[in-house]
Amino acid sequence: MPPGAHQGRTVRPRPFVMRNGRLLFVWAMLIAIVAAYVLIVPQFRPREQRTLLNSGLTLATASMGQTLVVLTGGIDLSIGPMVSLTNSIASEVTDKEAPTSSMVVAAAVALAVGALGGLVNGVLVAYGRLQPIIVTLATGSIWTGIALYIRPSPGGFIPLEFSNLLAGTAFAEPVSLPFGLTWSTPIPKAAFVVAGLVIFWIIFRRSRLATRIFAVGSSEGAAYLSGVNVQRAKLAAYTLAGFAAGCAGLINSAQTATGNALGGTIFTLNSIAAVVLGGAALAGGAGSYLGTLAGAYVIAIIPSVLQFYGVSSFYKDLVQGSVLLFAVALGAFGLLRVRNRMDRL
Amino acid sequence: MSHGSEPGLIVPGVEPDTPAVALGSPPRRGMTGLTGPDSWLWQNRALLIPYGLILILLAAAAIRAPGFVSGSNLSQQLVLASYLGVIAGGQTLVILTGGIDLSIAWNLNLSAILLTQLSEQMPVFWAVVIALGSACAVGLLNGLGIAYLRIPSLVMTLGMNAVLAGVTLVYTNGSPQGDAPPFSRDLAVGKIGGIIPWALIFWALFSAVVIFLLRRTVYGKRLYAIGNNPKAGYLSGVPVRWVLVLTYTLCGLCAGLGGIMLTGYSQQSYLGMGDLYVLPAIAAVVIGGTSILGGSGGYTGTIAGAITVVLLQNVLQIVGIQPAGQQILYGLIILLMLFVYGRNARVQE
Amino acid sequence: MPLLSATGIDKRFGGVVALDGADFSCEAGEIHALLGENGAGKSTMVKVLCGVHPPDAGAITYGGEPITFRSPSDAVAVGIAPVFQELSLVPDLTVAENLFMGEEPRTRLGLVDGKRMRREGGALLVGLGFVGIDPGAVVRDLSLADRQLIEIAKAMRRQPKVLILDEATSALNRRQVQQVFTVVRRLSAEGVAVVFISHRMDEVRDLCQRATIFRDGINVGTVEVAKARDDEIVRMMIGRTLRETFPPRTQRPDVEVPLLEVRGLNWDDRLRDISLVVHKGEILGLSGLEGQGQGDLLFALFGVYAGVHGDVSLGGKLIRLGGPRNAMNAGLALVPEDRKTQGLILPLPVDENVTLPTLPAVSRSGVISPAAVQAATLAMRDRLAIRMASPAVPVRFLSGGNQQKVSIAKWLLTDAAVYLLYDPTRGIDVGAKQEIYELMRRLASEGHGILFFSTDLAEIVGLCDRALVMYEGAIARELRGAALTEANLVSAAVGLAEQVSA
Repeated sequence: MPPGAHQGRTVRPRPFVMRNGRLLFVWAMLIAIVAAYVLIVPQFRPREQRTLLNSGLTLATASMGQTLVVLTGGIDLSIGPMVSLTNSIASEVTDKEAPTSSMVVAAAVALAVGALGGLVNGVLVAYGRLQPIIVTLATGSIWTGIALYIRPSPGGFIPLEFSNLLAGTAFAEPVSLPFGLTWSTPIPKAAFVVAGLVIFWIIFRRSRLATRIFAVGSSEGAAYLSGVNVQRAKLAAYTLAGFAAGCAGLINSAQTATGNALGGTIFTLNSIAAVVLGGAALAGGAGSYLGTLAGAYVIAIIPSVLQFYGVSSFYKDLVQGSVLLFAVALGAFGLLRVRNRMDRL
Repeated sequence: MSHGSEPGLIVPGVEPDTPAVALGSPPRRGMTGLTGPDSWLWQNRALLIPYGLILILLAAAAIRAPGFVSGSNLSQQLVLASYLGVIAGGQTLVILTGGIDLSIAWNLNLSAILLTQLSEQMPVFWAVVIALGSACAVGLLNGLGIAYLRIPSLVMTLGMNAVLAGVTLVYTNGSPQGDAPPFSRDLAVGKIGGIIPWALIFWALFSAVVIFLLRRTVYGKRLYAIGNNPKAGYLSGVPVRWVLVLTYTLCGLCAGLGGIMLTGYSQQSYLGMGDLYVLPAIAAVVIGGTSILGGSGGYTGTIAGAITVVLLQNVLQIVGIQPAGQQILYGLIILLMLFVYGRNARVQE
Repeated sequence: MPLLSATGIDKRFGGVVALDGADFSCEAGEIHALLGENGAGKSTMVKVLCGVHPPDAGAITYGGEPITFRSPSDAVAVGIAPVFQELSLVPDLTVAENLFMGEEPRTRLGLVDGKRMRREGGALLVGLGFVGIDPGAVVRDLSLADRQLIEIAKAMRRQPKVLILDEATSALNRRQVQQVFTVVRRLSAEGVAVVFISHRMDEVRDLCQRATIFRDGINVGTVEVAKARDDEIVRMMIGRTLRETFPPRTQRPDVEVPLLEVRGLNWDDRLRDISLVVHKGEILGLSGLEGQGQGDLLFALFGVYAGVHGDVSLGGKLIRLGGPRNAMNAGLALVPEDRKTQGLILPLPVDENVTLPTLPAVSRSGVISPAAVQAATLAMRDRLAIRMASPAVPVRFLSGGNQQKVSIAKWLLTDAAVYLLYDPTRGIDVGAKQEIYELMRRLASEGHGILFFSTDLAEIVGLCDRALVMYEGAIARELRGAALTEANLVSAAVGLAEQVSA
């Protein structure tokens, strides 16, 4: 950028495609994978649609939390254990005698525990000024321990109504609308959850909190100089992440209809993979849940696509891992722009 | 490290150059004593906690189950710790650079499987060479991605772990074949004269090599330099990227060695055998006092950390604490260590 | 009555006195310059005025009332808006988001009103005449100059009563500077007090009515800019009270032997067409106000920067600027600006710091010889009189002067041909300074070359055989012999064309 090069030329936002390159890339990948899925399945009926949407639902929810934490420049390794913990709590609190009312209680307790766990992480990271990676590794271990106390072996009871509520199909029967219209297309209920996540993100992105979280992740020093309360922003991000993990735990409960103190483990690593695939910078400050969402479904759908194409399921991890490494390697091109070699270390 | 004190260097009557020294640091007079910053005690203060923990755990075990502290059982505990200790050796080097290696799980698994499957088709020596070679190659790839593409170590090794899991599944078709060759059984569970376990001899040798590497070699000095301050290291002509690549390669090698020992211990290789060792290895390093920020700590602490972790698992069981309680204690101890050492690192900034 | 005034301000950093009973006041509607050489205290004064540093002693009054600031936001709240060179912009957010950070306009639903923010941000920029920047652009994509304009706009948006510009125009071109001045004059006409710090004397003359000159942490005088002559102002800026004695210079030979030759060095827009020669046995001074590219020049020569254009040769051999290792092997040594983060590894012991660049020399096939490390460390201790309890003490327990000696010692062991020194005597005591001066002179007389940046004019005058004054990334003037005076250094440093008779 020579001085004065911008004279007479307006500095505009970079073109949409360039600005959202990573986002478009991951959505293209998702569309390709879904297309491959649709082409191979014998029929793409509401049942398949439901299976497809359900397959990535827990991950998509858990990854919302991971996205928020990564935006601050941190990482949350306790997301998986929190999914397990809230799942264990839900399976324990529910009561066969009063499925509906007990499920409401279970859900409330699970969400509260999720938020509280996130708050603990946030306090340790923001006010204790400890490394997020090892703090959340430690709290993750604690959540797992508590989950094992609550549910030493897989089992427990999740009401069928709850499963239907989150993992079922809406409008299975045609519904009559006012003015004599009818709605006859069944919609998987997971679609409403995904829509809810997207709407939450769109609203959240326009909140002051979101600006602060992005600012803290982008440049903690500049954020502080601009009057941002850095610690409070981090605390909020981790707390929301815990709450999202609690939601994911409930969805996992609905889908598996059982409790398992180790059932959520996979979501820690997969949520990080989803965020990275979605194009967020692990250093913080840049990224969007819209990318993460696509990343989560890419990771979740790969196994079933491979299965339908007759590829051994043994290739699942190989493909998922390669996709992740490929996505992060793409980010390395930014290094070429760094002119100070010390900053490339 | 300490070359002893040289009290003659402080000239009486000469004032310290600036008063800044007096703030928050020990008085200059104390520097040459038992507790000064060049004393053995001060430089190894990080070791007090893990070795103290071992004593507490042993005392607790002795009260509840006196049989636990018998010679043969203690030697058995040490053998179990040796597997973890070898695996955590590589993790120590990586954490000293400020990174982390999560790919050791499937890296050691692949080595173990290569060993059992190949030793049926070729001389055991070559099977070992290939098993360790594969482990090093994986570490090398990690190192290249982290040092040259600047992929965060967490993500690089996470992705590598998934790739390795896939490669292993494809290679074994889901069921690993073959048995552990006799030499690996001897290494893991054999005893010299029925008394001294080979595993302990090997661990002692391994420890000596790692400690020598860290304290007495150019590589070791450079490792601490870049772990503390990569910029200052770079400006002093340290080949930062090569040190990183070498470190991840060595970590891979340690995972491979651990894989061979675990194969011998369980007489075979099986899928997922490494997953149980990732967290304990990191815990052993952190409990051993190596800072997760890099640059401070060493393998002496990790030895104690590995023993602590193994004792935790077994003593807690004896004292009647469930695996659930172990997990919780694990987390609490790591948090405690963070507060002890993490704070320390902040003052140094 | 002054709008903002500070009286009897003391400020110490560790053992260094930055302000020593300094006064400053400015009135509503005036544009007031702060002048002074490096370390005179002008930056510390403005940081006290806007709440970044709490003063150790003294009082601040604002609108006649005494006031204390606990943090920068306290000062912002009463209408004091600072613009610093260190940018407070968040790179990943848009221009509009940065302009409104913390005070975003909100819709009825309580959400950030992005449209309104962009509209108002755009209107703000247009109103200030900063055209050509879309408020939706991400700050990371802007040039340094544009970022500085945004930084100024951010302060203006708060409608301050006192505007502080601390080197806030350093990256701007003439046209942009004029645009900023137009706005500043308009504000001043509306009754805003403006405090202006710049290294460009012509800007001070162009914009300011009064100037207060700082020297050695105290205000030495306030002048009407229009009435004061350049040489009067320069003379007030120089003339430090504390005088070190410098070792005598050696006679320069009739025929100089070039050692380090630099031709046409360019990097980014921060180094512009730099050519220089360091001769055998010569101490070549680099002067100028801080941040004019001196540090960048030393880093570029040491291979730290990528994308440097130009030729650098040492002893007639061309050097590839590939990195510190290259530079080191070619015979260069760099004592960097910040010894705590770049020069030393504080938690490691003295001996490991001293031998870090020369580990291969104290080892055989990768195994270190403790005896060799000990010998090298003790040799350096004796040569530089490093005071330490033992070589095993972590460097952070050493005093500043001794730390600096360690960061020089590690390079003496490489026996480099040319030493690049960035302000090696900053913040250390007089005794240690003296020792470093003598070491430099000794190195030069042994036939080494030294390229030496100092913020202390007396050092340049007293120690160097020749001096180059840098100004905005280029070499503005070369001074030698009788012309190497503080007055000439200062006038070149503030961009005055002619030489001043001191």
